Amino acid sequence: MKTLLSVENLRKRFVSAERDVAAVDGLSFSLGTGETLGIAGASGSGKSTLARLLLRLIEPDAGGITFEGSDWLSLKGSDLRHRRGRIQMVFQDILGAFHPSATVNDALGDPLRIHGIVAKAERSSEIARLLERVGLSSAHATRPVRELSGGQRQRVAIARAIASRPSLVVLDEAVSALDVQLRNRILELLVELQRENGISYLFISHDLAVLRAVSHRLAIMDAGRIVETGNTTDIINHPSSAAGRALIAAVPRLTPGGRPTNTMQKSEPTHEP
Amino acid sequence: MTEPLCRITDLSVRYRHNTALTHVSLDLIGGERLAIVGESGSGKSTFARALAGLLPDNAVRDGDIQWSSERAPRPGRDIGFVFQDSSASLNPVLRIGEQVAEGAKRHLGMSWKAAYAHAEMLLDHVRIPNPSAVMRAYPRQLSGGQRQRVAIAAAIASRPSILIADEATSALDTVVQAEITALLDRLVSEAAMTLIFVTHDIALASNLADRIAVLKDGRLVEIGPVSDILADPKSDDTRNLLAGHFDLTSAPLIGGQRR
Repeated sequence: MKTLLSVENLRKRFVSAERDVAAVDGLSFSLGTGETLGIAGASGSGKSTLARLLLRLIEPDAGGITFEGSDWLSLKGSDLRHRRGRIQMVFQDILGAFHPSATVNDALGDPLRIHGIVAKAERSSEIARLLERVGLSSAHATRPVRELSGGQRQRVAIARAIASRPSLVVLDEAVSALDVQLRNRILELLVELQRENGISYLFISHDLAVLRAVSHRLAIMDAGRIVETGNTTDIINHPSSAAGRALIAAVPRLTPGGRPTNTMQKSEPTHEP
Repeated sequence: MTEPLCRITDLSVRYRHNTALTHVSLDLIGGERLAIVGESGSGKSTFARALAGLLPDNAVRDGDIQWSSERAPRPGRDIGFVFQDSSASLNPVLRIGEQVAEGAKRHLGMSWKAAYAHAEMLLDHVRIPNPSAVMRAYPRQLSGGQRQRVAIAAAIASRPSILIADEATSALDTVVQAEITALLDRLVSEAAMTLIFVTHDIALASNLADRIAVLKDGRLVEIGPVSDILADPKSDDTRNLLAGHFDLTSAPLIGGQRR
């Protein structure tokens, strides 16, 4: 498998009057073309900071990112603008990602225009194609995004993410706010898009059950570091880190015999900061 | 069979433009843990609020909620309520100590001094590290999980006999969710409270509850002991919820993984 992205010893601190946090503290990993790497970690482990660094929304203090064979961090100005469409992101807070009065047309037309994907005359047919691609119809194009259901909005967010034909999509808790039925359909859609277009995903979540369903490999993050990484099945079956074991134990399981009171009591002692 | 703590008959709730709950009837048994499970829009939160007497003013309620006690339990005193969003249930400009002490002062007739001591004991009881320092902190200084522990401490400060948790763990990551669920489990056992646990996650419900009630589009489609609901679901909606659940034993959506 060809390497699409490699991250070397990436660091980012946030320093304020109240505290000094090493949000990302020496991260290294790589991602192949058409591969999904699941990044698992509890709140505060640095997952979302990693996403923002990859998108160049914030700059790291140290370390390197090689993307599509070139130095991603040295890109500036118009070079960066031209390449930005190659890495896209889907967030958990779907509504917050759109302008309050935006229609589906606006949401999808902007990336097509900004990244110069298709000629102006072909824009509406491209929007219709994208909508169909994510399981919506062209009739949705004129609807305000805020009037769509949660599942439909997340489909629009995915359509917008793939509009600029990226090679990498970063999914930050992209299905965490959805009901189980919707969640499963969105995950199936993502897997299907990957199979057809060879997109790579960096799938960030605290939910190992979700990550396990879609990830070829897993990386467990804790306090800004990757504490273990490997094949998804191996990590789920034989976690070597405390953070990995805690994430696995936390996945709710159907308990047909009623509540397992004793095991729950055991897991209670808190290790929150 | 023991007399129910509460008999709910044909409960319906309407808002101006839509119906949230339609003809829900069930008996609540004293000391039980009842999970209310359904997707968003199923009416589960409306049910919890109606039971607690916390419906908004624009809600129109029909049907009957008959409590076995002489007077209906009072929200905030006899019924503790924990919401999904701890930042909405805590006042951002009041110190933690005052917010937790307030319920004890108002409902247990304690002096402020006694109520503050009670509050600090409660923070310790919900496993807040360094409770005396947290008493002086503001909600924004705590993590989401810690805030939810504080909200739970405030909800039980008046020693309610009924605790209603409305998606109390849904905004938290899975690790903190497991910790808060375990906390609720312990508190409810210790104080022999009746627990109403509202969740969209049927697996989480099965971990904590004695009985599960499944709501769909404002209707009660099924209610029964956890083992019956999981082993022999009668309704398609329950079967869909169960089929939609996946955990670490479900089939992955991608190929190439070794099982």
